Amino acid sequence: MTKNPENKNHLRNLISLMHADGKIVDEEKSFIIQLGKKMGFEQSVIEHWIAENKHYQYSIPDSITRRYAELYEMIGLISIDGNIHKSELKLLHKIAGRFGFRKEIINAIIKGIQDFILKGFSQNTLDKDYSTMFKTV
Amino acid sequence: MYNLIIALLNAKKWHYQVEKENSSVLFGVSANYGNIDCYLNIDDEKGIFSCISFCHCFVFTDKYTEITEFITRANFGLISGNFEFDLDSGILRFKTTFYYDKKNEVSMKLLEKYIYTNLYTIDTYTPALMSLAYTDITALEAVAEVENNVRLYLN
Repeated sequence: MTKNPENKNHLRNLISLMHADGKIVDEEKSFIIQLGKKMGFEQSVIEHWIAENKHYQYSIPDSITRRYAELYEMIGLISIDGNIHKSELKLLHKIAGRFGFRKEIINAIIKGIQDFILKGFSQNTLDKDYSTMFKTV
Repeated sequence: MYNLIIALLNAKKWHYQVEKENSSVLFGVSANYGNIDCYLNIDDEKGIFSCISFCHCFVFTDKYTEITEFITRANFGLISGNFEFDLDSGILRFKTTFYYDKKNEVSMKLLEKYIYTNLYTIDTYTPALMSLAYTDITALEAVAEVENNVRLYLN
């Protein structure tokens, strides 16, 4: 995983979402720092973003499908180490709610990821793009 | 045909499971919007190949009507394959089939094209399906979000 602009944006979005209810509890802060480290960012940089969050304007994507894509990516990032902590789950439920999803979507995605890993398919990826050829006008 | 399927999966270096020797193989791929499970089945007597893929979308019974409309709208105009929704079990899948002739089998390149088109189609519609299943948007809105996406240039 690299610290690309999309990851930075995701992380800052998450920080902003956590701030949205007025305070960040320790477990949320710890979660963000862990996630940011997985993305390749330095802890001091992440802490700086948490501290300066009042200057960062976050808006939830208009597109519901874009929200799904972001949510899926967040869950994927969190699942990387194979463990999802209670606090992480709680935050994901919170984000899903703000994005307008039923909270059940979180468990559905997590179960899908875990089943996939158990079957041994996690290294199988699509290497060609046929997305331009599946529908007529 | 079975040997061709195995040769293709090996060439892709994809892990797979033989569900039934000489007739059914299961594999999965990590795609853009989720993981997809895919069964490749052949009926050598009848000369039928089918590729059936599943995204991990659980459909609540209160969403059956919306999902049914979504599938009707999504299926319209698809070049290859179709979505299917089992109203009894709630299972949602995307299926591609073709007939083959033992004497004139398809090439590996063409087989790959069928399988990839299947996988990309279900992957592309997955965000909309998940959004429909887990939010209050309508089927019309969900399909529009996919088909108006700039990533998709429709032929």
